[in-house]
Amino acid sequence: MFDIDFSYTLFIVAGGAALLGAISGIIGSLAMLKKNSLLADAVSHASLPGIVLAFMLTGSRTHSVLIIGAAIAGCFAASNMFLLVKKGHLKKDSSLSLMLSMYFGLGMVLLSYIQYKPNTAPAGIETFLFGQAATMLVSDIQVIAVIGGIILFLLIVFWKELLLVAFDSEYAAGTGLPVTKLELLFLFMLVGSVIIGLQTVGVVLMSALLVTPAAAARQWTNNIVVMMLLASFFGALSGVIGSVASSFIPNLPTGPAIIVCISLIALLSFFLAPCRGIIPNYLRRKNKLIYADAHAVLDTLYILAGQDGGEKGHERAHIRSMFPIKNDVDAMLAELKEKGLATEISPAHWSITPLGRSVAERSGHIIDMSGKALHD
Amino acid sequence: MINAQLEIILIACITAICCSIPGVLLVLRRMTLLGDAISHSVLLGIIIGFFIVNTIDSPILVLSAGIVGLLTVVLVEILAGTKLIKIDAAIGVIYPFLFSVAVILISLFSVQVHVDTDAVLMGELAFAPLNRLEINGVDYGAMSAYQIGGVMLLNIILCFIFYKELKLAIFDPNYAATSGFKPKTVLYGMMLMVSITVVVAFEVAGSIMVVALLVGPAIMASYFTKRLWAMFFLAPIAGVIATLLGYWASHLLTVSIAGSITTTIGLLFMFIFIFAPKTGMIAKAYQRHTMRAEFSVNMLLVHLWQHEVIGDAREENMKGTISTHFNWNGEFTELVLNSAIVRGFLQVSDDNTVQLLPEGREQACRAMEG
Repeated sequence: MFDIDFSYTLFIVAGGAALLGAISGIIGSLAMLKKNSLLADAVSHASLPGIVLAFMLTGSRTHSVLIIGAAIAGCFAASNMFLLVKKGHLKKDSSLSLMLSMYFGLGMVLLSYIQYKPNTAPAGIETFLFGQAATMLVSDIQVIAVIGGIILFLLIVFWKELLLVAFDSEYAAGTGLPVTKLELLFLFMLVGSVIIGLQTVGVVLMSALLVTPAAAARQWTNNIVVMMLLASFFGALSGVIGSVASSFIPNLPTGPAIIVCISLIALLSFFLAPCRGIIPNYLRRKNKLIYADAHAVLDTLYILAGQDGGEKGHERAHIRSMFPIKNDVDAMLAELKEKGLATEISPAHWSITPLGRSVAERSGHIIDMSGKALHD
Repeated sequence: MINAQLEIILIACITAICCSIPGVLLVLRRMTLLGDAISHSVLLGIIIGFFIVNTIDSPILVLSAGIVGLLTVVLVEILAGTKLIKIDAAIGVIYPFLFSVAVILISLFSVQVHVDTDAVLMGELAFAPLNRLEINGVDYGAMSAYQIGGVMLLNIILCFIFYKELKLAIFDPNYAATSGFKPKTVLYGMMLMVSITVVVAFEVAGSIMVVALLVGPAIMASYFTKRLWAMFFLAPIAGVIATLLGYWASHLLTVSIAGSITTTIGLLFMFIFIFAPKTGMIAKAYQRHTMRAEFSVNMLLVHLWQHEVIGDAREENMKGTISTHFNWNGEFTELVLNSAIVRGFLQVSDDNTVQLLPEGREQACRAMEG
């Protein structure tokens, strides 16, 4: 009996976390394109006073009531920041930091106000700071699904416009799109995706669920749709892994577990992603260098062959002497031999093959004796 | 012995001064979010330090927290340096990761550690004077006052000594590099300074108030001056004013001190944002308004003069034609005409013709010359 119940709870929590990760992956990708990654950070911190105020006004601890408060506060903060950057001479980062701390400070004030009052223990509200997925109910998943559905619907309806504003807002303004309104619409979508995560990962870490999957997905593709799908897959995957891990390891908090998981995925992506990753990039660069060096040796062989026909081959020491700063000429020769571009006619005597000759001619590096490029 | 309340106020004020000085550098260098990141990730350093020495009040903790703070900056710089993601996204990836690891460590070993995760965010200024500095049984005051005061002095001295280097590295790193300064080194030194500041301030104020104290006073100062040295003076003053007001409000309403100070910083900023002379919203709107009126008057004078020169002033220089030619509504036309009449540039006769006066011609001439 216990067993079934346990796995049912786990199923709910993992499902909710996966749904959450999927939605935030998509919105996070768009936020990242707009270089607005940390806006989510400010918005999620700013939702605290809304949560506390909703509790103070209604006395209810119901998830849906509290996140309505969070949504209102989040929208306020977001439009506030928008206004500050547009109207003041404030830079984006300063206005984010300031709004983040101001709204969160207000939340702290309100929280301490109800704490000091008798008979209104705000139990359950503090879980919003770091999240508590274990208390997730089916109704909470429904809330996530409904808000997530609205966000996705808006995304599909305004897809073209949002994308244009994200990629080139000046051009979008030039074509007559209401850029300010679209930016505000996106802000509110971002607020929506932040508030549905507050219960699971909490105010402090919610921004990471938006930023990190997108950062990981960005490494694998240059296509925005693929990036969104991949980010939402990464988000969902870490949601599942994080919640399962926290149910098996006692005292492991779900929110931080999810964030650590997605961070590791991002770390792997930074290192391994085929087209942008650090390791593939390093290997490619190295290969390119070897390739360039080997071709320099090939060019030398070609020129030497042009001087004396090259039937007897050329002494290795002679070739080596033409590259005073490189000591791996032997390796280059071996590489050329492997590719069939050069042969070792007799011991320590090398010559270019017909294939090597055509490759050298095609490369366009070779200048013949009259000083004219053979190929241009 | 000073009484506890006064001591709390003193500690809060020292913290405000201590944070607002490196805050100026962060705001100008547009790196305030790094301050935010450090103020969260130092928690990991404190936990690691705790695992090493097994006590919560040891200088080792400050050291390890400082190292993790600097590590945050280095990691962000490396990640942003690979050009894989932008710097803001790099910050958004790194600090939640370090913070999550810290929270997980706290939760898994919560039996031994009495670190409250809420207190990490909110700080407990009210408890700041509890830890006393006692030498030979004589009470010399709160420990944290000495710690933060020391860092404050250090910050002031460093900014004084390296003023030129900091200024160059902040405003024109490329020029600094070509003239033989090392802007990268200065920047890392600066971030070390921020790290140490955040670590000591974090213990009493909590990460959110530290962010507010780093950013708020510096931004407020930037509304009154464009000079770096003046910002170094004004920012601490703004910080102290906000702290005093915030403490007073928290006392009045019996709410969280750190929260109240943070909110006050925000509100004070809002006030300055709206009412600041020259740079505030109202002042700017007023400037725009007067500029528009001034421009319109000049345009009108040149227009009238033009028609006088061509010789069709009798038909063209009428009140009605002016508003159609400039596409002004009647109200605005009246406004511009009145403003020009008051300044003695023109007169309107009874049959609604507008005539330039000599002064008006001169002004039109000046406007044409620009």
